[in-house]
Amino acid sequence: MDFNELKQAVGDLDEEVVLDILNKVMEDGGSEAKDALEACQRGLDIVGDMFDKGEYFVGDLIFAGELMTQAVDILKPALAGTTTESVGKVILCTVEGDLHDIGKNIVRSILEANGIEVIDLGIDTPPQKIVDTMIAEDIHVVLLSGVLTLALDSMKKTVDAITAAGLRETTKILIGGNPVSEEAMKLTGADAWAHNPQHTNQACLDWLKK
Amino acid sequence: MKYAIQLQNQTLYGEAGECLLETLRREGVAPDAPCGGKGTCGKCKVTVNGQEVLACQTIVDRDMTLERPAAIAASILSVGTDISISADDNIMGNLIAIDLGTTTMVCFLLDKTGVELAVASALNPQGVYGADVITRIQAALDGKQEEMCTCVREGLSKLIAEVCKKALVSTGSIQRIALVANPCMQQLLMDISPKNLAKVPFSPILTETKTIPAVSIFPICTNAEFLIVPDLSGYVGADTMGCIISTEMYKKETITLMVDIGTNGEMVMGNRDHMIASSTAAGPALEGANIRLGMRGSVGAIDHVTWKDGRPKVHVIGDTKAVGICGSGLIDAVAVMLKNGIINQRGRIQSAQTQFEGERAFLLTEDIYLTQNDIRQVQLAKGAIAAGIELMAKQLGIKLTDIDEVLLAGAFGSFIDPKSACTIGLLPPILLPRIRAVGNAAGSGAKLLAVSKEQQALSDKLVKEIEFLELASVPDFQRTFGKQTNFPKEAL
Repeated sequence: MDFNELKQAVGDLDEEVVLDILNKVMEDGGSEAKDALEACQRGLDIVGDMFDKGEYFVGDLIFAGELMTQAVDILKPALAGTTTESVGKVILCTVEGDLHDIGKNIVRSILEANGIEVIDLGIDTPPQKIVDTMIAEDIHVVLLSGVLTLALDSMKKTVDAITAAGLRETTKILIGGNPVSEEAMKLTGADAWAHNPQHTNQACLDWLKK
Repeated sequence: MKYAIQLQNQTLYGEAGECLLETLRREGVAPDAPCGGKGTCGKCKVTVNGQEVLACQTIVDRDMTLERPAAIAASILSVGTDISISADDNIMGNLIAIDLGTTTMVCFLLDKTGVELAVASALNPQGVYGADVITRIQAALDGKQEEMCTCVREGLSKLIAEVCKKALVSTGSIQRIALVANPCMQQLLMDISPKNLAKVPFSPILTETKTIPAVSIFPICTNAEFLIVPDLSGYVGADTMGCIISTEMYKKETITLMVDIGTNGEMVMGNRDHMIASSTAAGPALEGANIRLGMRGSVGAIDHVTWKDGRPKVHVIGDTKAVGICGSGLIDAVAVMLKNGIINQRGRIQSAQTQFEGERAFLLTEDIYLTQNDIRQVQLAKGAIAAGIELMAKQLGIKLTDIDEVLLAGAFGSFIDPKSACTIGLLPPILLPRIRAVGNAAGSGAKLLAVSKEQQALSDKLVKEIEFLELASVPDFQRTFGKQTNFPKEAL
């Protein structure tokens, strides 16, 4: 099996070729499913690079996210028994007052494709719900998404609520979406920010592996 | 402390420390501020003491001599569909029909038999609070609701007075006013907070036909009743109802797709047995906002682009020097760029082109260009509409080829070249021969509603029957949208 071809096809967002290769991988029950998944993840790195360079834009990221969800679904039966343990758990949500979830959903599919367990709290998420979930599920990585400028206020409120709950020291917080920036990160008190889901993915992997 | 501001032969006074845009708004001479005065869109440019600045970013801190671009009269579409109007017998006075759009307003005066006596139009004076519905909602929720209500009521009163004057009738002779608008415009006119439109599930408030004394809204109309036309959903309003009624798509056995492309793209698909309505957040890009050199379709706007001798050839409204590009020009420009390999199927401008401030760009004329981000904005708008059409067809259980007719309502639909729209995949290429523009169908609907109780009852019936499809909640939406932000593979 040519996993380089698979990697490149994911990078090119060539759905037909990707699905074709994955279905072939599964013909023998998926003995190489793990390698295939890894090739897909490397393909996503290409997508991330292309996005950074401006060759791809948000529409392409959306499609990449959907393609990855589909890929994981195909490979899942073969992955179940193997040693693809969860890298760790994170909370992901769109913050209070904001209803946009396209960006959040892209991030979810990409994190899941990289073996991260995502607790998705949906849109318009009150800070208390995030704090409650952190405690109930023992989670130390929180990803806050938003599109409106107003979302920055909610992000700050959420960070404050985590601090008030005494969890800030043991928690890493990343903000993502249209209005975030280095400045917004400082303003909200978060630890990191990202416009590119691959950067979010890398930050999560770094944090969870520590 | 006040400063004097000289504008042509007029002297205005601004409070020290206030934003210049505020001063100009108060005096009713503000330029458009599509971004709502955040300093991001660059459209409220004025010249202060010889220097070009953004009005929204300028503090009144000295006397000023101001120049602003001559008020540009946008061409507003008032011509509607050919409809036969049969008025109720018991109407004694004159009638007013209004299409209140986010950007423009059109007012028709009809006699008691429904014959048009006069028409007048103007830009919606709320334009200074932002170009699109979302910015307007934000402005209203930020405490501007009352002034926004007042300014649109005053603006419409002027139009009513104007049509009456044209036809030499008194405003007291008006018996009924029927107004169609999107839910946000409707609510702001009625002084109802639009907060329901800022939160899921975006429930509409005005959901049945109702009449109130018009005098409470337009003091000059002392004897009229004001007809509230129901909304189908929070983002599919009475204006869409007007389109449905005037196109009579609800009568047909064959499938019609009606598309009203504005800031929101409202769409209705179906036939007499089953109709689905939905709206897509197409954004104001197709109206020229969010586009670096975008503008409305008025003098100086590039409104058509073709390709000749290896380079773009533009047509400019008013045959003057081009100062920007409007929606129809934008669609054409993207279509020729795609056909000639200047952008690829993913919308990326190929590297050989010009750069502007580090961003790739393509020159349409010596100084009018489109940037990479402009193309992205078109892709997002196009993706939203095309995905909507695809998902509505799926919901109805039909193939795109089952659609018998595509009706384009509104100004944009009247000015775009259907072939360019299909080339970029805004509309399904396969349906090109079935596309027809129907003009100001919403305004025609308002006329029908003004003259006939039967039509009013029909709108109440349709509100109940038409299925509303919330596109964002369709599981396949994200995927379809992502895919549709790309341009079609096969060249048309």
